[in-house]
Amino acid sequence: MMQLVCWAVPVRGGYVLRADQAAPAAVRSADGRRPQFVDWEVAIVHPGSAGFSAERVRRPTVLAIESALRHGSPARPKPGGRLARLRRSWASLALGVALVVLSGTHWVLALAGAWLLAGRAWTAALLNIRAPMAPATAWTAGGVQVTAAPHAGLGQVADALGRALDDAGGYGQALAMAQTLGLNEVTEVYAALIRHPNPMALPAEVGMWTPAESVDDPALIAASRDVAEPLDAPSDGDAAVGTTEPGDEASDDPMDRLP
Amino acid sequence: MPTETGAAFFVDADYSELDAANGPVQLAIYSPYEVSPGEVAVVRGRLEADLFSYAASAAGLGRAWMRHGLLAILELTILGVLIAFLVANPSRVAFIVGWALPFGFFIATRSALHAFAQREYGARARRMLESGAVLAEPAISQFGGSLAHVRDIWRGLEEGAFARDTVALELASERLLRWPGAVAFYRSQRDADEPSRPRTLRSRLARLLLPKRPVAPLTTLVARPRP
Repeated sequence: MMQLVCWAVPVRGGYVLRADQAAPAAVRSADGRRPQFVDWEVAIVHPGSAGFSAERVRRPTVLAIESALRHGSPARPKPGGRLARLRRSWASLALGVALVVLSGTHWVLALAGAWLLAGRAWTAALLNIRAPMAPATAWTAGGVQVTAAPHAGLGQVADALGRALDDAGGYGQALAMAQTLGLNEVTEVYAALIRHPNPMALPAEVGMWTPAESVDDPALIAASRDVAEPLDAPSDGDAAVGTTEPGDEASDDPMDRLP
Repeated sequence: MPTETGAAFFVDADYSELDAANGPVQLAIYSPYEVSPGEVAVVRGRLEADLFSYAASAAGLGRAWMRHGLLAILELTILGVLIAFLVANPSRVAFIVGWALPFGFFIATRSALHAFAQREYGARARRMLESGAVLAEPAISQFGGSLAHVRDIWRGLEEGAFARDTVALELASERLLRWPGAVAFYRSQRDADEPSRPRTLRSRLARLLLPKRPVAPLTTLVARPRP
């Protein structure tokens, strides 16, 4: 099972789905793997929204990953051109030319020159020394499993976006927060949104817009409310259970959480 | 790990030493913070991408070293015949081309030596590529040497034993913690801001002659703001 990550970046009225920067490399690296080890699981990281349903965004997630594969670097590095090979072996080739030119009637010198110019490369090809090309890419969208994973940093970004009243201000705040957190993919989405604030018109390489109504599952929202309500409104009998003494609150200092 | 502007995850593992024959790889995350499932997913996704990209790039190392050796023997034989000819027939040609022979006739030998030296790395990479797997569930904050190092560097920073500066953190990792992985991490952070140094003659010669050990990528994964 190989895992890919897709970011569900919160925007006004929905999410922009964008593949993680490592996704193209992960897919490319699967080329040489055995098929039984190449099942794809896509973790959709989201800001912790209660109703976020991974199944509902399966299709746009797959599209976002395929878009990243298309717009990323080529599937595999191209073999070095003639110029690159020439740069690597110019001394050898020059010596070969010199030996052939100076050989005259001496067959030993001509043989040595021919070896340097063509014989070695030909023999290497004959011995099949060069690594074989890997088979075609192992990426298939059919059997992809999707899971949702709340991301603390994206939650902070969503909070920053929600605090602002207007779209441009919100995207600016979210961009600043994403930069502070070092979330490069998220930063790129907000930078594009500041230039063109309509998420529906974003280029495919930036991300795939999905409206919130098609992402949020009402059943999940209702289930989360059912869980949250007893905590929000404790009965009299339960009131003492959650009471904490002053100073017992969980500290924000990370050093206090060290094992 | 603390950085100048916050904190960052990095992978402290030598991918060239990981062998799928020993079983699946398990990611262990050590952090003074609580790590959310999304962050774990990102770390795991990038680790897998790095690990298998490394394996794909190193899979050709040391492959067919015996055939490389055969080619080297053939080339050395031709070189031997050539030297014998030039010694037996001393002429202007011998002086003109004699000094340049090593530049042309040791290429196959060098390739064969590199292939022989790297055959274990290549075999491990091929095994990782074919049957390696990363366990779905990472171990988070389990005990181990790495955890003690992470705790010590945060505690040293908190107590003011060293400054929140990349060079100071690198020195602390080297002298106080004796942690090569962290030293490499801070050096990579520093090198990202500084231009690379020009190669010396010695480094060029070493690069030409010595078999190069495959270098696994060192990826900074997710950064956090300063607590």
